[in-house]
Amino acid sequence: MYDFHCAGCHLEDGTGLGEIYPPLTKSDYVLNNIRDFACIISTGISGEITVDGKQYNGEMPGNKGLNTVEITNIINYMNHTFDYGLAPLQLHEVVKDLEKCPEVTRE
Amino acid sequence: MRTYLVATIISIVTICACQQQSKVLPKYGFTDVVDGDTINHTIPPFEFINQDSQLVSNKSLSDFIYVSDFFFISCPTICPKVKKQMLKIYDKYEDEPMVKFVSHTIDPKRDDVPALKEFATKLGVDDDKWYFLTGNKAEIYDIADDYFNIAIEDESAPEGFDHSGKIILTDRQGHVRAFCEGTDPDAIPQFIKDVSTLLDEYTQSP
Repeated sequence: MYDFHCAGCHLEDGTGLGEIYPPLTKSDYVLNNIRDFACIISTGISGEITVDGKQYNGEMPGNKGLNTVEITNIINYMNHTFDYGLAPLQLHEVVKDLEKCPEVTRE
Repeated sequence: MRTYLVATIISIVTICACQQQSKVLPKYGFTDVVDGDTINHTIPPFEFINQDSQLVSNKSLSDFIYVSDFFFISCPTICPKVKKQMLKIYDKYEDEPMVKFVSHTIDPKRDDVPALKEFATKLGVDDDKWYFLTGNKAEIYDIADDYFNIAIEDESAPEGFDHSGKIILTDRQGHVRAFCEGTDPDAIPQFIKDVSTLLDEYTQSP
């Protein structure tokens, strides 16, 4: 699922591209914001963020078609593959996180 | 007698020179025979604008060998992968003045000069080394053909465009000399070697 929904831009090894697509490899941003990832994956994210000292200011489209199980699996895949070292996210935690997603307006 | 000697010497020198030559890259595409001369497939004259609003044409590129591809900024599928591989090639030849990089957008409507400039800056490359070109859409699509690339506007494709991820190497005479699949990281080392081989052709000629 990661390969299908995420690797196009963030690449299979998660390293991203320049200052266009941020990396998904272990970083301060990931470790500090892991509970935001459910919303990021589901509804996307835009605006300025800093990852590993680099500034990003793009717009990531969401993946509305993904259900909570799939989102949980993707986050845990990243945790495992990119070595975040965090405890695996539980489904009920993802459900809770998704309830708090910000409204996203798109042009 | 004298002519025979001269001819022999010339033959020997030529044979030695040929044996010292490493592999020569082919010239891809159909050939034409005009007035008895074989004409190789050549990139036709073109004029596009780069991210600094500078005109880039076949003439302005005639002193360089260049690595090119076709992409668009909002491309969600193959473009980031291709760009990543192109960056590897770019890093290798960053300090080689004869090598340039040329990326053509197949979405000139959205990818205007400022958008391309922002993209180039974020990618972290030298604007004078890697040109991001925009221009007349029909001309870009036509020339994609000459570079053996495919570019199609297709509503059902992700973000509306379908295109191949080939990376092409073109020489100073506008002949396509090498290509590879930009989405395949394993194809890049050979392509990098091909760039070197082509460079040798220009730097090692008498």
